[in-house]
Amino acid sequence: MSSSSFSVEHDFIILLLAKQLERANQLTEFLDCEELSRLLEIHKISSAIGPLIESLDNDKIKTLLHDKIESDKLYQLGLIRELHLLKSAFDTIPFIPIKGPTLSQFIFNNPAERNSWDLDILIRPENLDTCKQILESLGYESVETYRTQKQKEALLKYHHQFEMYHSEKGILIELHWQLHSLRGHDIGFEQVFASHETCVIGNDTYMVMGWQQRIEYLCMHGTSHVYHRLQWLNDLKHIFESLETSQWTLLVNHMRSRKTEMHLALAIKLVETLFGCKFPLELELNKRDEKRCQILYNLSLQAQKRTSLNVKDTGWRDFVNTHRIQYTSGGIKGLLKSLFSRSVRPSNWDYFAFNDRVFFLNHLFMRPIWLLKRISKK
Amino acid sequence: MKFKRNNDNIASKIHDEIVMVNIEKGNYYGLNAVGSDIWDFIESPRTEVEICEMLLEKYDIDTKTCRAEVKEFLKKLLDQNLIETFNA
Repeated sequence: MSSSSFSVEHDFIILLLAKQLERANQLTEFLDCEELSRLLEIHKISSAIGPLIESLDNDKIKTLLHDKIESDKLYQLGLIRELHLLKSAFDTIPFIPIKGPTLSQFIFNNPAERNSWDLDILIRPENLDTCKQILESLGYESVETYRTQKQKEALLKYHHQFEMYHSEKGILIELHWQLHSLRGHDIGFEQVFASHETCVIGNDTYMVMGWQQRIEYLCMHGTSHVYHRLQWLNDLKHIFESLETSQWTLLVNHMRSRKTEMHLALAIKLVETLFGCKFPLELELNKRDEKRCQILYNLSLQAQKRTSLNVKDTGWRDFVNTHRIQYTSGGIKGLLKSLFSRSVRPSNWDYFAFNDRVFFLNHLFMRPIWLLKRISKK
Repeated sequence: MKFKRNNDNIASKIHDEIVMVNIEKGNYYGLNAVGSDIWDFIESPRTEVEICEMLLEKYDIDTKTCRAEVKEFLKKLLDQNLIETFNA
């Protein structure tokens, strides 16, 4: 199962998620509580292991886990309430929550069983200003914003989200008009709307992604981050375990038709390897996709290892890794879209030579200007 | 008369206890193990008698005490708008 090159805390978490409680218990005396807390936070996994902690023998670890779970669950309940308030405030403006409480409801039949730390909302791009104003009236502030119409157009064209933060509540809302996960496989509001399902939380009914599109999105989202967070693999593990044979067929056909089968293969490979599962599915990939899948698999294990050993990527290494993932997953088109998307983040507009126009020249000159400014500050 | 959960509340279990929020008011609540058992039980509408019978099967308690405490607990839940009643 897990390699000994990971930390004991990482192995402990994996064993719990795989419900190997006897082996997990054997590790409890070797655990560092601080390190375990760190990993639980990074992997957003406390709620997933909650039901299992009573099987542990170590009282100190049980108390630590219990406190963490309680704190996280209270935060989740707050997010659910915030989603309800959002729904009331948005009124007739259609929106589709992505992940968060609705995903928790889908996987665990309870909106508070899965850790989230923000709310991702998919909207129509033409509603961005209205949604922004509504959130401002609820006390949210833009994390960064566009200053001109041209900047807004560039943001809408090349980027995918706009962040707003409520400092009192400590809640971040991301307004998405694209779910890009991997450039080259953008999913917009209309695509999701066309096949949406509904989800009931309390007395509210939300539009949500159709189940096949949702699984596809989770696979691509996981790939784009090379599953450095175990929560994403745990989500897919639960989903895969619930699928019947007929649903597997529908899912594979859906992803094959969209040429995203490789991402499903990667997810299955990782879940099977890490958690010791076996799913009734054999995917046949072409040689190129097999190679890409293997590269991404290795990158994922490397990312998890860095997380488990608290090794952080330096700026350039992170930059190279991110774009390597984009290139491996989405080809040259994916890589270029990723580069452009980074450029139009509002934080980069300070480095635009041309404040309001000629976007591609801005992109060309941006890095030299950034470098000059950094050198001149020193 | 039967008691059932008010859908304005979202609950989540932590071992044998429950934390929940009323999404309209924003109030948070916690239920201990016995309270959690009752909360689970009234997922479907139940009478006070049915609730007591469930608890008597599970816990070592006399009927009189059980009825009094269940009555008091249900009143508290009603006062907080966590549950509602309807005639069976």
